[in-house]
Formats: sequence, structure tokens, C-alpha cells
Amino acid sequence: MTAAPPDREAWGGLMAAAQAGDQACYRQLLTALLPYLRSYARRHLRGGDAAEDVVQDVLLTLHRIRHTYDPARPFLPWLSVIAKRRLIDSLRRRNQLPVAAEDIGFDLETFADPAANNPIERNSEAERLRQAIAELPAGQRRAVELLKLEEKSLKEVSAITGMSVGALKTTTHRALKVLRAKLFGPEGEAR
Amino acid sequence: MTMPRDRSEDLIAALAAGARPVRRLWPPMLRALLWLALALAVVSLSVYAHGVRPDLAARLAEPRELFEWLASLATGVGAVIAAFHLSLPDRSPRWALLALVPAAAWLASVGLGCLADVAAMGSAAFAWGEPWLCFRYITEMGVPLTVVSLVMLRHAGPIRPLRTMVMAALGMSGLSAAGLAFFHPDHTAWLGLIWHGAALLVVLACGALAAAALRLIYARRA
Repeated sequence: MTAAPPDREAWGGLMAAAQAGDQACYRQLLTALLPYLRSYARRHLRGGDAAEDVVQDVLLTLHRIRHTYDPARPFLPWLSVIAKRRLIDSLRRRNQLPVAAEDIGFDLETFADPAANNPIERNSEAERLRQAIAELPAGQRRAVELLKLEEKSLKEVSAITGMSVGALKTTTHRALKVLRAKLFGPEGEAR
Repeated sequence: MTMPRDRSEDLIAALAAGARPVRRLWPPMLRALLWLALALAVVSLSVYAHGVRPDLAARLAEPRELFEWLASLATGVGAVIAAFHLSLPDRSPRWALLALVPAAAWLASVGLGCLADVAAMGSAAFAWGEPWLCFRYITEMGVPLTVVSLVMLRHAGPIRPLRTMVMAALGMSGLSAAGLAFFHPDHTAWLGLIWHGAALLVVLACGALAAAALRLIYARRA
């Protein structure tokens, strides 16, 4: 494609044309979306292949439910929910995200200028949390993984680890304190 | 179906080349109202078949009974409208409130009924019994109607299948319970809470199963 990529305001119109069967418009739209979807997926997933899987999953989903788009409404919110759902599914499959966590923003605004993305944005929240948990002492890490990520009950974890419920509560409390300091506090408070 | 890295361009070419015209969905509110009209017609027919209780007017003249009936109906209507909105990617999850608020009022009303029974009957308010008809009717109406909803809400598969189908199931339960009030025999509020609650759980479980089916169908075809 040699023509200049369409700007975002044109995406809704292109999708409406695609719904009517205009294959050229559809191709133009999907091609224009590609860099944005790649950038979004790569912000949240480490591997390039994993990110590309999500991009393709988003494209397939968009294709399958393209009849649900209403041209009278903005295109981006429609696309962003599809992208978010596919990314969350991918993260869950890879066990990088607790099942309950869904706060994954779709901020196209930060994509246009790569220099605007600071290192914290490039390393997603999920990745930071995963690393922080990995750095915990073995006992604390195990407690957090079983209680908070796998959402097992205190009794179940007690049976698995052989630790008493009281000891588990203390260990988890300490682990969460460390994690909180690592993620939100200044580095000096981390340990 | 996923391709190696950087082959998304090939996928785009394939999708564009195979893109046929699609018929846009009608607005969700219109689709919800059409489904509501159909579901209400089915419930009304079944009520007619069971026969309306003769003292219905007197019963609905009681403010708490009327409130409970209106709350169950509002839950049904609100949940159906919510389900059709939640099934679309660009609609707010807050549509669920349209069902959850009347559902809370419904529950509160039944709870107040229990308290009123205790005040009037003492411990007899908790006497055990089996208003099996309530359970059977709500499940017999709610489950098939929820399954039919699945067809109309299938596009929710890759987006919010669980929330959508649980709302659809809640809607069908609410409408069924509202229909039930026209002919079911009197029983204590406590028994109503137990048996209606059990039926609601069965229908909601059916909704969750339907959501799992939608997710599976989507995963297979993706």
C-alpha cells in the first residue's frame, strides 16, 4: 500500500464501508490498525511471537464480530475492548495475570511518539508484579502464588505447604508489604 | 489459526479478500425489546395455561406483594436490556446496574416478607414445605428461554460471554417469577426465598454454562 495511512477519524468510516463489503477499505483499515495493535500488544507481552499472536487474535475477532460495530458511534472504544479482551485472554493463558485483574488500558495516545513511552510504560504493570513476586523469598512467594494468584483458601494452602494458618497469614502479610514497597514506594523502602 | 511473527499482513490480506457484506445488528435496545415481547408472550401463555388465581387482585393490592412483583418484573426487563448491551464491545459494563438495582430491591422485599412472617407467625414462619411448583416453573421457563437467548447473544462470545449470559439468565428468571405470581399458591416468604432462590441458581448456572459454550465455540472457530 503506497497511499498515506488514514488517520484515526477515518477508521469508523472505513469500517462502515467494510461492513458493506468494500474489501479495499477493509484492507486499508486493518493495515492502518496493525502498528497500533502491535505497539499495544508489545507493551504488555514480552515475547514478539506472543504479541503477534494477540495482534492476529484481535484481527480475527474484529473480523468475526464486525457486524456489531455501529458507524454512528466512535470506532476506538469498540476496537479497544476487543483488543483488551484478547490480551487478557492471552495473559491468562500464560499465567502472567491473576484472573481478577483486568485493568489493562488501551492508550493509543502514547503510541504515536515512541519517545513519549517511558520505561515504566514499556514494562507493563503485570510484568512488574510478576518480577516482584519472583524476587520474594521462597516461602513468601509460594504463599502469594497459592493464596493470591491461584485464589486458594487458607486451609487448602495450609494443607499443601504444611504451614499453619496463622503462619500463612503472617507470611502473606509480610510478602504483600514487600510487594507494595517494591511497586509503589521509593527503592529504599523496598527491603 | 495464528501465523508466525510478522505474518499478520498475510492474515489481513486473507481477511480482506474474503470480506463479504455483513448485516449490521439492530440497535441493542430494539433487539432487547423484541426479545422481551416474545419472552413475555411465552410466559403469558403459560400463565394462561396454568390459570390465574382468583384472588390475584386482592393479593396485588397489598403494597409489599405489589412491590415484590414489580421488582421481579423490573429485574427481568432490566436484565434483558442489560444483556443486549453488554454483548457489544463498545457499551458500558454499567448497563448491568439496570438489573442489579431492581434485583436488590426484589431480594430486600422478600427479606422484608420473611420479617413480616416472623412478626405474624413466630417460628411457624420457618416451617419446612415444598412449593415444588415454584422451583419447577421458574426452571422450566427460565432454562429454555436462556438457551434461546444464547442464539441472539452469540456475538458476545469473544467479548463478555459470562456477564452477558448471566444477565440473560437473570432476565428470564425475573420474567418467570413475575409470571409465577399470577397462579402460584400461597407459601411463607422463607420458603419463597429458598425455592425461588434455588430455581434462580439453576437458571444462572445454565447461563454460565451457555457462556462457557459461547467461549468454546469462539475458541474453536478462531
